[in-house]
Amino acid sequence: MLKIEELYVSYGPVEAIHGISIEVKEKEIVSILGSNGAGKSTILKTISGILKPKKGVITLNNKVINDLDPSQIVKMGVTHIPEGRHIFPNLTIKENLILGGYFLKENEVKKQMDYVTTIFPILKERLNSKAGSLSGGEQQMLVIGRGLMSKPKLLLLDEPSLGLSPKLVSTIFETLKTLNQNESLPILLVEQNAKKALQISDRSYILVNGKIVLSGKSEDLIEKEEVKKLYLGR
Amino acid sequence: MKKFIPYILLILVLFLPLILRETPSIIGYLNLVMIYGISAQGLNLLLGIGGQISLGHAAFMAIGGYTSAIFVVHYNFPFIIALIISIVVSAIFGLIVGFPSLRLKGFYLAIATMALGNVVGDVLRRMSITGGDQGFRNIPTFDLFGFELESYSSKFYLILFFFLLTYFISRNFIKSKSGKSLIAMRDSEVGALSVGVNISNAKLLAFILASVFAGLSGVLYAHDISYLHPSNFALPLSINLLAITIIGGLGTLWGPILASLFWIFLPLIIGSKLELLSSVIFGIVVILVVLFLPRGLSEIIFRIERNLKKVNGI
Amino acid sequence: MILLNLLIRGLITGAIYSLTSMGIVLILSTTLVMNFAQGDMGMLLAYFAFFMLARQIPYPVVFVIVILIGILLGFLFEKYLMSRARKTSHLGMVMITLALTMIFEGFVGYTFSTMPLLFPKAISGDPLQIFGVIIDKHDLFTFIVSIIIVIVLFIILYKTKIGIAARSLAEDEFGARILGIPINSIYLFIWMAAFAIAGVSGILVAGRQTLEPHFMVVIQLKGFMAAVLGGMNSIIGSVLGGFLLGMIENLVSFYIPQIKDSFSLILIVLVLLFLPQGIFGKREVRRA
Ligand SMILES: Nc1ncnc2c1ncn2[C@@H]1O[C@H](COP(=O)(O)OP(=O)(O)OP(=O)(O)O)[C@@H](O)[C@H]1O
Ligand SMILES: [Mg+2]
Repeated sequence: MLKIEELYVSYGPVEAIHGISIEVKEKEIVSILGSNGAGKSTILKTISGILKPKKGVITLNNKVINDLDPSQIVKMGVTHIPEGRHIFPNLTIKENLILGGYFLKENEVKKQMDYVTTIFPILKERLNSKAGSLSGGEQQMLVIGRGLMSKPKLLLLDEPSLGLSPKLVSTIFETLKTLNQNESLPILLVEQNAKKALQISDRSYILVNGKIVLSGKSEDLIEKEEVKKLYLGR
Repeated sequence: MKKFIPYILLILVLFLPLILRETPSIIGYLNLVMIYGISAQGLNLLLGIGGQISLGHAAFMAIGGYTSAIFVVHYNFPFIIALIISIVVSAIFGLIVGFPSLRLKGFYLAIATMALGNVVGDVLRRMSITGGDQGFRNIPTFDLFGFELESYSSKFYLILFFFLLTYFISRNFIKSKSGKSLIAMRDSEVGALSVGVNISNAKLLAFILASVFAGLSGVLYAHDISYLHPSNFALPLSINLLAITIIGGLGTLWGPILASLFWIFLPLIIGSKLELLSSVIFGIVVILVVLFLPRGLSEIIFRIERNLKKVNGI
Repeated sequence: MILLNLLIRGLITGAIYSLTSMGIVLILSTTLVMNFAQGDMGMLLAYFAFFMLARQIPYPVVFVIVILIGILLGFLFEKYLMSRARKTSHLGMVMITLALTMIFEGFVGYTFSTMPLLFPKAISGDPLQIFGVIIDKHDLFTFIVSIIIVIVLFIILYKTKIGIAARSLAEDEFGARILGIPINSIYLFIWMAAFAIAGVSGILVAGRQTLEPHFMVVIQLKGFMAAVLGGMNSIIGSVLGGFLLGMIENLVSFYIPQIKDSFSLILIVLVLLFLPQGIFGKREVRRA
């Protein structure tokens, strides 16, 4: 469904991504692992059209999306849930969700909001409170819920576990797994929490300094000695 | 070759009154160009180097001009002493406005200075010592130790002296630690920290220099024109001064004088019938510069410099 | 009774300040641009209105046309100037609004002369007397129209998708962009709204004083001050700030006329030093 070939991305004169290729197939959870500054977020931002590639091709269902802007890419069904949350604190939770479904029709918004609030019941209880009043974990749920509002066909998720308690992380990852299985929603997941990510994903890429150094089935990678040493702290 | 160009230019400028002796009014206009150039140079330091926007710069000119006029006319002070007093007063005002500005975000400073400009105008209008709404009339010309400068060309040399003085002060400021740290700060918040200079002091210094330049410019204006009116220093002039610094090229040393040359001569060139249109043209030029010429008219100077380098094979 | 009269008059002046400061804050909070052209856009549109009225076009029609021209100018301004300047520098965007004031004032002065013109009131006739308070009919009209505009804008900002998106842009531009919200259309919308509001306040103010190229300058300054009172980032705050400023101003100029002129500066300095968030401002929100 999503295919990235020989992608190069730079910030001004500084190149951050040096020719990577990544693929996400139907129904898959794929994770990109790497430490701070490896370039994980840069890749996701390039897919969602925030950044423009310097070289390389990004295709979605065989259509090149390199030059599209974020709105067009969202309309094609790719939703990017950024790291660092980026909720709108002074807007209500309902308003946050409405914006998530910006391109839906009026009646679809209602339906989708019902669907999202059944996944995250906490949001339903507080639809009319300001998003800034939510706790960190609840805000993360809001961000994911807001992303789901657009009826995505592919979800790009940037470090959903950041700053959350282990228990919450488990809840969120379970939710993702369920979404993936029940709705056949493909997910491209970026994580530093390598263990969790390897557990739920089908395949993984390991990114170091803007290059992919290792890739394969997650169940194989989790057994690899170098992966264990580098990322799993064992 | 390149080394000598500034000197050749300077000599040329020194001979201007002789060259233009048939048309002394042009010298008169050049005097105004330099006067506004000095003021704009102050704003350039504040905005172009310090990154702080002021919409009350003209008010500082008024403060300088009126102070000097009052001391010369009402207290019979010699011009030089009145000039020094005016500069001190301007510096104090700069400090007063500068201090709170350290804590304010950009747009608050813009509003505060705009309000200040309004208040200064109102106060000048209400006082009697300033001539109120009638304006301050019959301000004597420059008096240098008994020599009264009557002709345009004699004024020219005095104003040129002050113009060059402010030019060199600005140049030194930009090259100083304070100036460099402000530039670093303007270009990136993180950068300034690595320069390791107290940014507050640097900002304050920029503020004081800006108001002193404006004050000096006001003094020169007062004795050159011999008449002051509050409305001459209201918001439109402040906006025009901002426009001058932008058109000249923000943060460039030559920008203010080039743009003020343009500003003064534009209405003359298009003629008195279309004079009101000159503000339209000026506004359009601002927009064009913002969109297409970030270094403004100074781009011309940079181009010439580059070409000279090429010619000399450097 | 005097007090009541003063307060009512303050509310009416305040309504005008509110309109202007609302336009300013709408732009500032979403695009971070101080729009110095808000007042003079109103001035320009008031001149257009004047000449339409002089041709016997009825007031209500002129009113609507002015709003439409405001919308059109807002569209052109964002589409052809601001969207380009946004790519160069932030200061550049501010300078362009200043340049607009030079262009408008020069243009109006050149084409219509700088002579003050008598602008017709929306409703003429003897002032009303309501519970002992004397109110000019045009003032009443001004007040009611301002309130209507405020309400309309609020409905748009809180009940429509594009309005909610505009508010989200004010909070977190990156967050809005990543959701695929068409940022450029939102910018278009807010400039259109701001200049439409400018047109309305131009006509309303012109009816209370005379029409000349600088007549909106002071109103705009007051609009900025109202915005400061309101915290610069909250539309509600800017509206309340406008009313508050109008009332305080009326009281001050009646009871302590000596500081009438300097009062504005004193107020700004006090607010900035002691209440940097303004009286009604919301807490600064982190921006990405
Ligand atoms: N806006 C920017 N301008 C310049 N360089 C940037 C910018 N954003 C990121 N970089 C650089 O690009 C590289 C990759 O950054 P990126 O944010 O993609 O890393 P990451 O893998 O997501 O890290 P983290 O785990 O900390 O989120 C880093 O070296 C970073 O410094
Ligand atoms: Mg990242």
